[in-house]
Amino acid sequence: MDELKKLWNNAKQSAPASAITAPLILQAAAKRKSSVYFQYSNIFILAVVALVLWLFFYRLYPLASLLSSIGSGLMVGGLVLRICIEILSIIRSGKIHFTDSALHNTSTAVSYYRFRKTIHGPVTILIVAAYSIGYYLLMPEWSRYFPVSIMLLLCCSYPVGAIIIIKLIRKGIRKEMDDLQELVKLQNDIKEEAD
Amino acid sequence: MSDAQQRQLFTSLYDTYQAMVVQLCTGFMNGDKNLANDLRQEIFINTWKALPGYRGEAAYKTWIYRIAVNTCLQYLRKEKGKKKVTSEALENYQADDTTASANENYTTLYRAIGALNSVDRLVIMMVLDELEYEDISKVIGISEVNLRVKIHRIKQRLKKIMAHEQ
Repeated sequence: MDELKKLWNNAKQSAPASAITAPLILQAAAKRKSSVYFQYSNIFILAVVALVLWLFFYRLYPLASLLSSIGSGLMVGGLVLRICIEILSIIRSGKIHFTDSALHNTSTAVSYYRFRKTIHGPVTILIVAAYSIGYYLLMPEWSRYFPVSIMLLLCCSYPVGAIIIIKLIRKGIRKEMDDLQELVKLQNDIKEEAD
Repeated sequence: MSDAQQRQLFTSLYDTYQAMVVQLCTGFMNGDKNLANDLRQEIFINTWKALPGYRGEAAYKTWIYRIAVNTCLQYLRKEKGKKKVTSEALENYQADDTTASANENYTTLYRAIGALNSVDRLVIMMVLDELEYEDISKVIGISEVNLRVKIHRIKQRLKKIMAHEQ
């Protein structure tokens, strides 16, 4: 072990020295900015969609039937629920600190990803189902205003869009679930001797 | 802390601990200098971001070690699939420098450390860097007793690996 320590210290001395910190500070600022943009861009997009739908259904072209009102409510409600979850996710991810111990940091990350797992499971299915049902509940009223060809287009194009979105969501979920598995393994490695 | 004070403190921390961080990163990345450099940058970026929150509860060295360890563990997860740390890294390490015999020794050292799992790798590197067990236990987040058991097992594993190498 002493020999290894000596070797380690010699290797350390041969490490290249560099004292330029300014680029690192700039990089840190840019990284913080891009991370904030990334976290909030999702919420921003969802909020814009929800706002456009609300304006469309409640201000520009108010719906006449009860069925359509339920449909639009499900669509906007699903989006609002998703926005709330995204905000909650940001708050929870903010609890992961690099200055905590490795075990604490990993445990907080595991708890965050478990929360995401719950969201991705029943909650996402519920939101997608609510949005889809809501969309098709609008069809009876819309059929009074639009020709059959447009109605066919509206009915058939939705599943295509939904499949693309579901595939994208699934890709994200898979990545997060892989992260969760890795983190649980890491947590076990850290606690290996503690059990 | 004003911006100028933060910059001054950061520069001083960087000057004091960058050799320690570079060595930790190189060991963690199996001797791959390019990956180690990426990781070093990441660690100091996180240090800069965390600096306003430093409350003096731990010494700067322990505090930076915490950031370094967490960044290393996260980096491995994030980069999985993008870049792979392979045995080629060690070959690159040998080809990079001129002092062949010294590098051969370092290569053996990095190869042995690289054969351990990521947590054990970080623990043994802190031991090699002569960080107090009390501080290592604070960085990792386990009790000192458990840490001693862990270190004992890592040393045994390392001995086996080194014996196998020779």
